[in-house]
Amino acid sequence: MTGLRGQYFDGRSSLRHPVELQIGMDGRLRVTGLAEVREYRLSETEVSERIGQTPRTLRFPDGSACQVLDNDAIDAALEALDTTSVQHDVHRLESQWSYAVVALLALVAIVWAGIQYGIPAAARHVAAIFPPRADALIGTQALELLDHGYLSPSKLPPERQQQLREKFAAITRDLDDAHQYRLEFRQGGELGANAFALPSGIVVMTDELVGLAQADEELEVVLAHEIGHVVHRHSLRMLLQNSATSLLMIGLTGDVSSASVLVASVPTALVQAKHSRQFEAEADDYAYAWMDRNGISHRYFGEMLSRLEKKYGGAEAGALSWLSSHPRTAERIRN
Amino acid sequence: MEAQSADAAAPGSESPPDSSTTVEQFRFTGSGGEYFRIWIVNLLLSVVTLGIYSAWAKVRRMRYFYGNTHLAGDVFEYHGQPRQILKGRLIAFGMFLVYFIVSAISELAGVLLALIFFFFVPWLAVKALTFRARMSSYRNIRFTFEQDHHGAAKVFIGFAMLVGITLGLFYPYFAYARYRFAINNSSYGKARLNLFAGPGVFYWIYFRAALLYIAAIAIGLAVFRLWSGFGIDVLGDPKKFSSMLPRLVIVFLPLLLFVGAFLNKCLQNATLGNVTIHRHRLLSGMQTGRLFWLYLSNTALIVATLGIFIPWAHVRMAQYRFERLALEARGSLDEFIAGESQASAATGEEISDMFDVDLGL
Repeated sequence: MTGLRGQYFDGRSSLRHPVELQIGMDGRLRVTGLAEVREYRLSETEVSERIGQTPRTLRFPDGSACQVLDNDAIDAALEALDTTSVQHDVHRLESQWSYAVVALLALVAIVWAGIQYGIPAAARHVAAIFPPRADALIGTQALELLDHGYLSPSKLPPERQQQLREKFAAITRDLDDAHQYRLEFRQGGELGANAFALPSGIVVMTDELVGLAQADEELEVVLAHEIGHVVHRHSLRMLLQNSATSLLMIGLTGDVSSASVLVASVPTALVQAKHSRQFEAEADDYAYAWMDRNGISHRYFGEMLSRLEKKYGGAEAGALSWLSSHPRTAERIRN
Repeated sequence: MEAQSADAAAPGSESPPDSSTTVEQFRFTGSGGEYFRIWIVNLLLSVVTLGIYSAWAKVRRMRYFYGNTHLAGDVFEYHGQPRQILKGRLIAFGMFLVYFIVSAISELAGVLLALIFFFFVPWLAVKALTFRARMSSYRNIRFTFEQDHHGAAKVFIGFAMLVGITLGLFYPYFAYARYRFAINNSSYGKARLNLFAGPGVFYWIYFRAALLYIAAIAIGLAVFRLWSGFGIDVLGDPKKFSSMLPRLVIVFLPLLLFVGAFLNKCLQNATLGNVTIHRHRLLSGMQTGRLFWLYLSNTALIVATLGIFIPWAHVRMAQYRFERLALEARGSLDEFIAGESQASAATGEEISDMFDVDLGL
């Protein structure tokens, strides 16, 4: 018999009754100190889990409850009767600093691996569920928005446009993936020499970029790079990865409110930038493979990138490269 | 409302009126180190189980905070069940996913979905507040929440739309109505809670907070100009903006945290500090300076430790909040009577957790 001191509440009023609690080896619980002695079976008593040094509650079938501060005595009694739960093992993990440190290290490793490999792989598999036609649904208004805010109609002669469209058609001719490939020309304005792909298969190239090129091959490899984004469905995958990253950060910081949003937004931005660089590298792979298939020298891509970097300044080196959406130019140029 | 406040007074009439007044101080006894170990172990288990365990983790966290909150010799208890919370989280997760994908595909569809959600808010608020009340107890007496859907629609749709129509001038009244709705429908056992502050208090709070906000922005711009030589126009220049971002954060973050501390201190004192229950009342005496220091130091330490400080920050906030909260008891605290019990699904609270519906309390 173990004698435990507790506070008994009958569940009908807030009056506190100091009682003594005895847990017998027969699995019976005796509460003394009330008007009459009460007996409950341990098997029909709900014992709350141990969490830190907080008091335990023993909830009895009649709605009454007893709070006990002596956690060790309760656990000893439960253990003697062989009725501890899985959650008690969680308490054991929570009570040691060494386990906490191991948990922290494991968490860092898992989160890192998840961001590096897990989320991208999962997004690729989920993207495969959606038919390629679904890509066209993403950002349908994107080009209209750009036309409204940044771009203006191309001043490139129609013959030149036609010439480049034929080259574009040659690159996309053998692709059989339900995307509607089309090349559009615009004046870049603030965006300068630039090219980008919309998920539906429309590739937009600015007059400034055409002007910057010294050989048509340079434009072709840029087009191949943009087509790589479409073929690998980067818009859809980015959408999926960003949602997964946001959910992960919400889960890690615990809530979506107040100051933690600020704290979580920085790593979220870093992860999204990292994923963006992974996509750029994948599009580069596609462009290099296309060059190899068509016997075009790698130097065209390198020269185009170098010229762009010289004109606009490349992706930042050093600390800011973590926030950049593109890999460093030096890393992108391959021999 | 009148009949219910008469009901709340009923327990007192059973014993002779007792006019002796005692002040019972709330106390929070959790420690940062202990909570860190609980937090990190449960976080790891949640990540390893792809979030499934997070429902169990939440229950353990809530039980830790309730179980360390003392009043008059006894602690509070949290009764949420992990399975119930998991169900709510799965529904919330599904809705979040649908909203995210739909709004990414088409902004118009996203706006429509948000509009549908807006009309869903009153129901959600009632569910969330009911769940929170039902899952809380003190001295084995549960809190309850009156399922006032009509009142919820008036506040969360009617008043919320008035805020838009009046270009925000109605907002203080809306805030007041929200707190009033959350507090006055709550009971501890059979005893109804009552907020006795009027809307004027809230107009005065938001008026001062708005002035303080304008002053903070003006001071921030002046300091930023002195330090960097740039004005507000850096916001329009992406290149300059990204290189000036650290300075902008260092100048404006403390100023905005100060405004936030002032506002939250005022709101907490005006709401919790003006609540009566039965013949007792709560007293809240938060101070802007202390709260600001907590916000600032917690933010700085969380950033510096890459998030490891989060559990300590939670414990420090709870310590301060309860250190400044007391119950002025007229007579005994032994006379509260339990209400009837009823089940409540966890869905409401979990969805509002994810969508960050500000319920006020």
